Amino acid sequence: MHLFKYILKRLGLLIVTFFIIISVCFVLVKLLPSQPAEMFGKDMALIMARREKLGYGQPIIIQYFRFLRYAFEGDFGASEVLYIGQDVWKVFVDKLPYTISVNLFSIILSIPIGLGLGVIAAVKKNTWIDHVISTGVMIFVSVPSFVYGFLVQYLLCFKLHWFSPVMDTTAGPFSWAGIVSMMPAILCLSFGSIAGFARYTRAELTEVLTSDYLLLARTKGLTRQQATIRHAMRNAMVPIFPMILGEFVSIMSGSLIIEQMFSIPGVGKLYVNAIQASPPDYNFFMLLSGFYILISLLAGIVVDISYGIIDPRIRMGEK
Amino acid sequence: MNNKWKKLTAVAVSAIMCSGSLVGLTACDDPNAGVGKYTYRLATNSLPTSWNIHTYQSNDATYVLDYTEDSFYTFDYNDTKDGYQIVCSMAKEMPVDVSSSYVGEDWGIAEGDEWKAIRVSLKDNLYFENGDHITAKDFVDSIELLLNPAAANYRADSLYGGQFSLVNAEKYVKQGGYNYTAMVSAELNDWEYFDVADLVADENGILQLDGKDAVLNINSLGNWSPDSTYGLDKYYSAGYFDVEGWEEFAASADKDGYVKLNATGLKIVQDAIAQLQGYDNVEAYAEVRGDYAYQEWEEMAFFGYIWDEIDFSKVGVKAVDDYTLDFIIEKPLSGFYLKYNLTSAMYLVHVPTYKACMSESQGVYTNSYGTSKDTYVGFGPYKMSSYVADSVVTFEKNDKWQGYADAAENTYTTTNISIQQVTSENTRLNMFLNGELDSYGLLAADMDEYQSSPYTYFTEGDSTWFVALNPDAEKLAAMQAQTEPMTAGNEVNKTILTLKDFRMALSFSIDRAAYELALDPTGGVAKALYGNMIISDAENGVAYRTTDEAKKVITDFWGLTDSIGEGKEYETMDEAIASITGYDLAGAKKLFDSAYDQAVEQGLISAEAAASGKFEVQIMIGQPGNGSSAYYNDGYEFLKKTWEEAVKGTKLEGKLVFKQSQPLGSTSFASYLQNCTVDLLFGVGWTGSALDPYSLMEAYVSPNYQYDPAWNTTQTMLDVEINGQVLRSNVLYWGQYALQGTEIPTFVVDADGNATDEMVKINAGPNADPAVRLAILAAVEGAVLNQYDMIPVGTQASANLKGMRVQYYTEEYVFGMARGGIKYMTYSMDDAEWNKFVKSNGGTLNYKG
Repeated sequence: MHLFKYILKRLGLLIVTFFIIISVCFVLVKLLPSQPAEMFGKDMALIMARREKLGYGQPIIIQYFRFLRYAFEGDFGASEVLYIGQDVWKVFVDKLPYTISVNLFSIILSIPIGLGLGVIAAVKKNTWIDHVISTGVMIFVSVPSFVYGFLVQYLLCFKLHWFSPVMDTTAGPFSWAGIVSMMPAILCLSFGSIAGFARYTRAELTEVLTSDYLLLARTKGLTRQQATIRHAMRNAMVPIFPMILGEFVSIMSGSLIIEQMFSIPGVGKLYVNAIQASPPDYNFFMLLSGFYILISLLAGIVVDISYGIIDPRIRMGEK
Repeated sequence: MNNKWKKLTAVAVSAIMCSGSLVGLTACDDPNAGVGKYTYRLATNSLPTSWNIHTYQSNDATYVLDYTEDSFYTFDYNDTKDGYQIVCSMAKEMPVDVSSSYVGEDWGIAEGDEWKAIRVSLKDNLYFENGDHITAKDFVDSIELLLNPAAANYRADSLYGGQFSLVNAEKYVKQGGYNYTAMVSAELNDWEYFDVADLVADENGILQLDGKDAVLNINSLGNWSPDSTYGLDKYYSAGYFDVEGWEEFAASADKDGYVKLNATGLKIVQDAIAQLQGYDNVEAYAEVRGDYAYQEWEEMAFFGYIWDEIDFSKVGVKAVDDYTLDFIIEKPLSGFYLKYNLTSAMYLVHVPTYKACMSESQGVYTNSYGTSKDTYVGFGPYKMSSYVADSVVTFEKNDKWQGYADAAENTYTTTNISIQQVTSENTRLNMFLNGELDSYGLLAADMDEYQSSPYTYFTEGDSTWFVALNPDAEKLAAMQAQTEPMTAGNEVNKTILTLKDFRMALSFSIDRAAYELALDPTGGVAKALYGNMIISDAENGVAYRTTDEAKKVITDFWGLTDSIGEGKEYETMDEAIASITGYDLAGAKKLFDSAYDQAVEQGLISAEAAASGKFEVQIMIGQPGNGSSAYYNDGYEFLKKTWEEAVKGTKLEGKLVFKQSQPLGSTSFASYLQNCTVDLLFGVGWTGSALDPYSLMEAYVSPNYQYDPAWNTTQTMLDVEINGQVLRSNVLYWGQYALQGTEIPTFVVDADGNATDEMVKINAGPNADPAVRLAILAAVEGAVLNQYDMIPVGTQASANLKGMRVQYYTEEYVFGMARGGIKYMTYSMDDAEWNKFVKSNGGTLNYKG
């Protein structure tokens, strides 16, 4: 009951926060200069007529309520700049699978390897194995993914000719050909995540392995492996699992540079393009703002709730 | 082992194995793939997201339209393969004049008029790629959709306003909307004014002439003052006049500054002008100037009116029968420019598909035609076989295309086309070297390695890049007043830019060859407004710069005309032009000194600052784009260093300082120079119009487009020798109106150089004597250059690497045909042979020279 109340309260706050942020976004984007530049030989009256139809000449508050009215009806409008004439929601939904695909496979690859390396490093703490893993982790955490991008593309695509340097999209994002051609991008995205998981797992597990209850478990006769897996891992996962969950949530925001580098037609660059367009692509900007704000707010709630699910000792909403 | 641990291990192992097997699988290739196929593979920075011929706004659309659409007429090689001609494609024969069939008021055609109604006869074997027959009605329906008033389609203006303007096209698309004419004084021809008593008040008290509202824009002075960016409201704010009721009047303006005039408003405006002229009110002003005092406001006024509703049947396009199409146009057009304007399919769309793509979004008309494979039906030599937005588009041969029926041997050898979006230049180059692409556009960074490669082809473009300045004394002074010095205690100066000597010094101190080498190694040194690829006689393919008139512009501008002739420094104009580098450091230093002296003398630099040396000429250099362009960043450093070095040893040594602006965006950066927020732009200019330099001249002389609107082209007189007579008119009239087909008044200039009362009307539109047009074009070009506010620096050019298996039809670039294009391109190997060839070379090819 407490949890239910807690969720309701958080959802209520989410709605309020969402509307405040989305309103600020709308006003700010509308305050950006949007007058079309005079073009040689172009009848600007025609352009202004179109803008008039779109309501760009009206006061911002009227435009805002117009936006809200249609948004509640599920009509987020058509793109006027980036994807002329196309429903922005449809364009977004068409591109999302590519982003999800590359990030999903990257996480699938990262979790076992990252956790595995973290466990090995923790169990073999202060041995040469731990040192090698920790050094590797530091390198991969500190080097940005686009640097791997260049290296992976050069070595695997141009020198060894194992992969195409760009994604084969003709068969779709979840097709075999699509996944194969995405491998360089998946690898690039995985390196950082693997390092992140390994570092976090090692730190948590190391702490748990030196705790009193683990010592008690060993003295009761459990082997080191049994104590590690049955007791240490479970407790160490309490902070790690929300991190994994957070990674899953963030996959929809895309990875701008990697997508661009490997020509993956995902959503990574949409947001930047929408705001950089001249004039800004308002409908795209608002749709993406709304989407990402919602995802971020929901992620916060889900992660918080997940603590209680992983570790029953943690109770949400209780005083 | 614990089950969970087992599962975890299994997942990890399978993931690793999975990636390993993927690696292995990619190594497997089908040995028979590509046999008999010739795929032309390209990669670009961006692919089109829309190629709807009615609405597309990016040139990327041509990546689709060039292959999937046809045209009435098309460019082809001439018989000697060294020039172009226009030949039939969808049309059966060349256009015919049928003006006599449309004589009457409806179409504005009088008895004896020619080439105002044009007949195009279509071939009977025209089909869309889905097999639907194309008839003349499809063209008419498509134009109706293009001009749909509810859509306000971006490209609707292509059918009005230009050379090929369909009768009533503008009226149809704008029906029901409110419109403003050009300036009232221009509407009535500039030398005429209407009688204020002819104005009639409508039911709301708005004054009208012939049903049109009299309107003033409080933010524009129109033709009244050279200061085209100021308006009466700013003069009021600055205290130049104080007429009662002005604030209320100004408050009634719409968001663009327009106010419809009633009797009270008119009196306010008349009084305001009178006060600006030094009188208390219009009555006092009239005592001196008579009726003109009451009419002067017309120089800054507009007419406003609502476009009448009009039926599409009144628009100048008719399907006479299934295969005969008539166009009725506003201005007569014949010869090359008529055919050139018909090198399109006149916005033909597949009407059923187009209509299926119509919808309303947020209550506004929208159309998704031409945004995916399913929403588009083409009619060109190729058809789209796949499209993934922002990724790839592929094409295959369209067997329904009419052109294959009579295509010559060895044409259209390409069976497939693939264009990928690859934003990284490095990736594109590596893909090319790995044999995955058939062409690669070289960048500045690649030139060291590939400029001497036998596979490198250089192509000169039609654009010139300038250093642009806007020497607007008032605005520069205002900006100067609010600019902080870079060295504390210094007086900031910007108004020195108004001195021609200073601008000339900036020009002469640029080592253009070094500039191009550093920033754009494929480009050349620009010596005038127009480069070598601009065609002035399109009928005969004569390049403008090869004419004597154009050559003389250059020798005059660079001061070499007197040095040409037998026994002189240069024997011919060509020799003289070849010697021009545009770089004269010694001359620049003298000009910097001269500019300093003038600036002190005129008080632009205060005597105190001059005496103490505590001043700085601070120039803000604009940065178009989003700040990531190497061209603009490196160019800023180059110019800064160039000019800082150039003033050494002059009176301005150490006084010239520079700042780079914040990124100004990609489309409206010119406005920052126009309002003097920045003092200088570089790497800017006007592109396109290679076949019509006459129309493009408007960009340099019209305040609507000028980078330097401070130059009032209506007040700058220009003499042009035509048919043995020297005629005088203003630069705007010559450069815009006359060249675009409007009759202008000119005055004969006598032997002493004075204008007489003898008026000669000149119309130098597309159908005029080519020699007259050329003489005017050259004279206006000279006038623009001599302002030294558009300083030519570099010419546009590009270079590309051609794949080893690709064979161009001609090694030399021919305007309109390039080197043969997709039509004439052939291959030495099919795709399968090429793959083997690349593998046999270790997977990476060597294209270095």
